[in-house]
Amino acid sequence: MLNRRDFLGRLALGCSMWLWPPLARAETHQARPRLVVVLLRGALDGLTALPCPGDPAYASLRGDLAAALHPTAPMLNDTFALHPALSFCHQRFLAGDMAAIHACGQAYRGRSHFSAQDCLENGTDHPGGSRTGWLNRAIGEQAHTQGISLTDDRPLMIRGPAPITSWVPSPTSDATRVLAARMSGLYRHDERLGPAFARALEMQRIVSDEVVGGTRLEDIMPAAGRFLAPAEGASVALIDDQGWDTHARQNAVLARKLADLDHGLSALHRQLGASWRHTAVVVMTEFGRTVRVNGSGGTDHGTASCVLLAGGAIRGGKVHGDWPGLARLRDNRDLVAAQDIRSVLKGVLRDHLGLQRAALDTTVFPDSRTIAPFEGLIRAT
Amino acid sequence: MVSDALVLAEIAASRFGLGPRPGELEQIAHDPQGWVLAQLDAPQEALLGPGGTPLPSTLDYLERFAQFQRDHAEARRRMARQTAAGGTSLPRLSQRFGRDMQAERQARARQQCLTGAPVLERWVMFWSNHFCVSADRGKVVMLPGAYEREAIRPNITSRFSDLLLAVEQHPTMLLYLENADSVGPSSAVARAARRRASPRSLGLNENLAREILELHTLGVDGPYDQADVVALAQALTGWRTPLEMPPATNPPDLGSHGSVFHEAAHEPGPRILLGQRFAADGAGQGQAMLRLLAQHESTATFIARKLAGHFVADHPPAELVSALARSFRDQDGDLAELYRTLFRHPLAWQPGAPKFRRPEEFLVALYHALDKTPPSTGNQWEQELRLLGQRPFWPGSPAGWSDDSRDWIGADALYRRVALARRHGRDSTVEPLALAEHCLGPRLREETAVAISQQPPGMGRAMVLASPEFQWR
Repeated sequence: MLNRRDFLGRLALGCSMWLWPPLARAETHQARPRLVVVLLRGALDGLTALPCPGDPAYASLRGDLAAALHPTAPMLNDTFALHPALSFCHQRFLAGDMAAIHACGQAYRGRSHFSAQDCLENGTDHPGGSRTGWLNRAIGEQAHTQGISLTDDRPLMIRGPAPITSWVPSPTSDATRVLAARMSGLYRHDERLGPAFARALEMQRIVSDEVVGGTRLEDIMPAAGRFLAPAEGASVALIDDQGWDTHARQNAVLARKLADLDHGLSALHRQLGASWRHTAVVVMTEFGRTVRVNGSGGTDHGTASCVLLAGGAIRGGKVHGDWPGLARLRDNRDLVAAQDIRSVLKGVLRDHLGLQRAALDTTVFPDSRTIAPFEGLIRAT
Repeated sequence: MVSDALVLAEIAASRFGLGPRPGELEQIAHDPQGWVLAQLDAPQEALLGPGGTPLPSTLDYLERFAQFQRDHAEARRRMARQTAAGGTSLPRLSQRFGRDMQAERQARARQQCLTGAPVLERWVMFWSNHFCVSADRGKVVMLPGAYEREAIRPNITSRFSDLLLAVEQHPTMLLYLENADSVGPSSAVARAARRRASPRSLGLNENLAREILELHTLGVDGPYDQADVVALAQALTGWRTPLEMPPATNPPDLGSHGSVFHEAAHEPGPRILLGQRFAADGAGQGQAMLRLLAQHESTATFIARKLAGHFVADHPPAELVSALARSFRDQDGDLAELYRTLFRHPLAWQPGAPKFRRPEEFLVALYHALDKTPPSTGNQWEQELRLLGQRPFWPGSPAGWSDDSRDWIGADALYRRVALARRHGRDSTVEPLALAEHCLGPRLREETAVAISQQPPGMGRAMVLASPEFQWR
């Protein structure tokens, strides 16, 4: 049964109930793949999210940081453990739909957040390499793929010619909803704004039942789930989060941040319901941090970090990729990068969304022929 | 019966100004074009910080930043000596300068809302965005306000070449586009570093030179190639700020806001830009190149197209663009003459409100409509603009904010305007239909007026500000 607000929403939309035009009929029978990209800005310390107690050099190099963390972190295999705050992730790892890849880095080897994020978003090997983002270009490769960005600004990763909707929680109230509903008739006469306004009311209908007040991952990620869950609609979502630059008191900060990420993933899983089966979540960061602890209980800018993968489409229960070990460090300070993040992204885009290798090598990640898609990350269907 | 004078008054106030204040349209209607043109001769208005105090200069900020770096270096040394790990209590960059950044944002917002010359203020916004710096790079986080006050504001009615030289020589631009780190490969500094086998790589950074050609002067389709980028980058080596200078050096000033010319980092020798030869002349070589670029035919067309696209329409009439380019060229880049050409052109006065107000333009117009002034302290302005999607001093790219309406019209963007209109509508006392008439004038549609009149006052005011008409200029 419709409640009054639904009714108003439908009125505003005329006959269309959907945010986006329906897919071609032939494709509606096939569940479409969903992709969620989570960008952790500030450089997540991979050795805290995914410690390596099995590496002989780990305990001595990490000192206090390892000593406080190790006893409660569940082991994933002989080498790696998972941070204790990532309990949902651990549960999914055991269930087989969460995986990780350690020692992922970029072609850019500087240590500036700005330049590294620029590269991670523009999809080339150097800052300023493109004024559009790889996620926009990836979406543009596919006729029926719709993207949504749940970010504060319009980050570079989603900029470009493909239209990508954005949504962030507004300070909404019943009064705002009533006002918006009463204005829908006025906007129908504005041909340039009318469609966008109708979409605003529809998006509000999708997320309004739940109070989405904050901007933490545990607030934003379930909202992403709501947009991706329906049978028709957006299938790619971008989420970003600040505050991962842990130069001081790292264990305390990351215990809080990783718990937020874990709650976010858990809420996303809950909201996606049956669609979780068709979902791949990629959690990544611009670079890693120094292996040794600095003087303030934190770590400084480094090179390689880990990528976390979750979702029913992921071949999980496994730590993929090569592990360079801690015996030899880059510049005697950083974890060596054993795989390029673009290789991971290419593997997911090819095997999950079905992008062609040629497009990945030239359009999505320009001049990247030498970087092969990472094999075996996606479950065969 | 709508009077033509009122239609033109609304265009003057919204398209060329920052939106009408209560009762203003009737005054402007006496002579809309005269109202616009007279402001070009208005005196400069100084921006003030909290309590009416002057805001710091770029040099003040750079000194504080250098002290901040010294404090942190000292703290790191101290901690390295200690065996036990202990946290540092020193503030981080954004904390150290947070209050300054707040004061800069509020001062700018107050100027936009209080100014007696909104037409000039629009040019400040236009040129600040054209010569964009963004606070997203650490060293410049507190500088964009001072940059606008020192390099942009005093030059908006001078010649384009004066504006260009002021901007490119300003410390903020040199830091933002990394020219301060650019070192001539055969300069004394680079040779000394090679002798020491220094691990720090010293060399040419082309960032500023490329953006000058692509974004500031000739435009991305301009007649230059990679060799021109390198030639300009080489000429600009040694254009630095006091932050990069070794102790006990006393380099000559570059421009008048704290930059220096560091001869030892400059790549010596003559070079060729756009087919023209430039003799070795220290900092003078780069300055001469900028003057050449300022007079270039492509620059005239690029600027003409951009400003017509900003003020008049996303796809402005070609006739208007060529009239502007001609004025730019014939008057030797005289900006006041260029503005007069725009304001006197009939194609600039066509009704229809074709441009979607960008968030900042929307918010200032909302404050004008309600006759409100942001306080000199606090952080409300930034919170509101971030909500609307245009974080102050933070465009995030050297290309600046987009001027294409399509980039701003989105579902989420419109809904946030409704939320903000609701908040401001609730907190005001003006009669809703009066508000609609004084801020929309003849653009108020009958249907909107009827809808407004059926609401309680708070909701009615919010409906004016959230109406489709109010989103356009």
